[in-house]
Amino acid sequence: MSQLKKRSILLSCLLLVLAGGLVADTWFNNYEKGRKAIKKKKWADAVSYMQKALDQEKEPKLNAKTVGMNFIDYLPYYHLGQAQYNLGQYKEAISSFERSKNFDNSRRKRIFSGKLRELIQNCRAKMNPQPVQTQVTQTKPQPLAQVKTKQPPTQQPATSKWQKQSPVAKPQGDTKKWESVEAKNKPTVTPKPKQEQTKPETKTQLPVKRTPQPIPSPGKSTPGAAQTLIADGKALYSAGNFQDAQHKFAAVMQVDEGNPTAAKWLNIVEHSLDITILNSGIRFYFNGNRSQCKEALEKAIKAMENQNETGYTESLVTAYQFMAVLLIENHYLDDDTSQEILKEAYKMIAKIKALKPGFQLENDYFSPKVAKIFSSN
Amino acid sequence: MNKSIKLTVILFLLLPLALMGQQEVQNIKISDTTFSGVVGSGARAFGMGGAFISIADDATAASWNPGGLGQLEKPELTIVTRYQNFRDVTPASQGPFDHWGAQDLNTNSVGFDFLAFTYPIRIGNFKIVPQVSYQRAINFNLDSTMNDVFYTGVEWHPEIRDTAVFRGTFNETQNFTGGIDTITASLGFQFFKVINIGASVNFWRNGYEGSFDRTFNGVLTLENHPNFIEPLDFTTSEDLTMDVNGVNYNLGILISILDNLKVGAVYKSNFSADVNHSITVFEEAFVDDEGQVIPVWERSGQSQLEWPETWGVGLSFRPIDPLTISLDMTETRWSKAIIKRFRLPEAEGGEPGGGPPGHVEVDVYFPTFVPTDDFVPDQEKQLDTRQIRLGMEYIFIGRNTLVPIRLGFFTDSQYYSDAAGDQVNFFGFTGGFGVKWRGLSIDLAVIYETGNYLASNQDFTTTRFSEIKSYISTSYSF
Repeated sequence: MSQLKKRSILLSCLLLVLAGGLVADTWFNNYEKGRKAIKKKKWADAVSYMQKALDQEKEPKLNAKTVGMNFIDYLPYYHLGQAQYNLGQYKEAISSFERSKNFDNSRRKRIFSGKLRELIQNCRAKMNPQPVQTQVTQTKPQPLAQVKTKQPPTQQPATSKWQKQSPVAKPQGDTKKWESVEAKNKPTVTPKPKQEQTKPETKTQLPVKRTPQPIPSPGKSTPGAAQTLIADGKALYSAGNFQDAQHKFAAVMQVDEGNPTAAKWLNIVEHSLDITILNSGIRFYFNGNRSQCKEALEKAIKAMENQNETGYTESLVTAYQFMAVLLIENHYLDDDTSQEILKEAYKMIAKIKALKPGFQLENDYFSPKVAKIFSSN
Repeated sequence: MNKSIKLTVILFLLLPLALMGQQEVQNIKISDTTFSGVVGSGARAFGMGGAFISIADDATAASWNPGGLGQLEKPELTIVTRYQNFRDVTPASQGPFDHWGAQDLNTNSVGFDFLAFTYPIRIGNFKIVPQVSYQRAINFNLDSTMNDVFYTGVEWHPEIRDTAVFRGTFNETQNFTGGIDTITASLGFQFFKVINIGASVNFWRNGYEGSFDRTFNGVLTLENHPNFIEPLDFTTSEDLTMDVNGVNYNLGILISILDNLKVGAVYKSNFSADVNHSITVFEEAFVDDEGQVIPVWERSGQSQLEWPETWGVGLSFRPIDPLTISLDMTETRWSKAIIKRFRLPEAEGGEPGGGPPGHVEVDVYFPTFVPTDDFVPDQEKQLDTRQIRLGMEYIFIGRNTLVPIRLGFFTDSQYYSDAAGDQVNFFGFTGGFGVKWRGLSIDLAVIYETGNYLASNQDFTTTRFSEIKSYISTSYSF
């Protein structure tokens, strides 16, 4: 073979190696690069990669085949929205999340749509930065779970639909109504510039157990004063104003430390406040506010566990139940810590079974997948 | 009859029997699918009937279609082991000069089949996919037995003007180890996401060694001497070795016509391999002064093996992501597989009592060792083979676990003809399943192949062939 021919063959092989190496990324390469960029908080790169992935494969898909026996959940609009949200592109983020919401898959739709609703609301809140303050205590909530044993001798806390139905009764009103109420309450002021925003998201305030303010000692306690405070406290409790009622009863304890009536009512009010926090958490869950739901449930569980009273059994079971459901649903959305989240959920289920053996999760409000995990643990 | 004549008769009569044994071991009719070097390896592929040319998207890609390597994204390690059992059952047959009882040749083999490591390299927009692999292309790790085969033969001997009749039973055992292996270096590329091409260089090495023992227990009589009855109990042994040394290449291409429709093609080149071989035949009657059995006949030498070329095409379709259906066709030019200058014993050799026959050097077909000259009947000549393979894979997808189910069917024409001169055809079914958990995959495949062919056109006896092979593959992708 002549030298020229040999060199030509060698050069062709080299060119083949170089040219053959030139390869455009596939849709799953771009998608994985986008996800890695999100983990590293490189939002602009993430947007770029997700858009490239969408140029090649427009349809989101669960269990999409890549190469060989490899399958991934392809949710590009969701991740694109995440990146756009963090870049402050709220309008684009809402559009991406809406497109992700429209992705219809019965297995995850229920879980996913809740999370997406929360994200869209966050985006809208960012675009209209005046927070909508809603205080649970300013309404007249009916306790959704009743404390069984701690009943005042003369006055029964109003029983609610929640107690009469099963522990997993639907919230009052449709969840969509809650969104429309929030939408109507949108303020008309122009949004402040981004740099003036100090909090990442606006949260509805949870009822807080306030430390009762000390009342200056009059130097001399009178039975009449204590009775008046007790009467005021009862009236406030009946009106649903648990925090002010707590203040009144605490004031009685300040001036008359051993007052049994005040102590009893203080206990009742504190129970009701715990239940109210729990109710808020449940409300947040059905509204799709998952992070606030988790916060409320954690507070309620901590408060009720600290009380360590049998009267809290039903309420604790309810709290554990919603926490377990929330954790299981989060498990499907967050692959990175999925096993840890699932372990926490199993702990909650174990606690439920310890308190109430034979407990069954009702399928009406939760997906069959969640119910199956409950029944298998 | 005096003693010396008796001995001469015995010796002379035994020799063809001994030489017949040599033909038998080299004439093992094993299915084309035994030659993994022709098709490929891997439990996943075989579970799908071997229809993998247009899929080839795992670490076994280089053995099926190196073009598929360009698709791989992650490093992967695979090891495949194989268990094999085949049976050749021939019913009793009657010829003009002999009568054979039913023959049931049962062969077992277990061992390593394939090992590969793939490491895709991506730097920016560049991707190349190298792979190194080691494959047992032709397995000779076999243990065979054939027991209690009844035989009656008659032979006219003009020198004693009598017809010798021998009756008895044969028992055979064959123990072989080794096989012909390939060490392969492959490279795959991907162009514009849809075109994948690849090439492999295969270094063929090693060979086999083993022994074949045939024991005959019977009697020898002469038709015209009714008082002559001589017991015949002897063992014929052969030791065989064969080593191969050669290089060939594979080229492959795989194109994604649509995201869920792919076509592929592969070409495996022919090549010339140096062959070192030796045969030593022992026969109990031949002993030296110290009573040690000495070789009746031995031959060793170097020849050249012309290994045949293979080409194949395939098509795969994925109607939904978990389901893949594929169809392949492969042809191998076994009519060109020849060993050149192979030493064979002469048909008639030596004076009576003068020692073993001489030998001739001829070209013979591989693996039948039948001479390729024009005097050989057409039905003895080797033929090109074709396989058509159809397969499917359905993957059940769990949270972190995949469970694939696979089924396949194939037709497999053989390189030899039946007694009527028609090409022998087998067919087979495959099934398999596996588990993939995160990066670890374990797959199992079972192949059942069967077929009948006319063994004798005199009494129309039919040989029934059946083979069961199972493969276990373990893969890990990083």
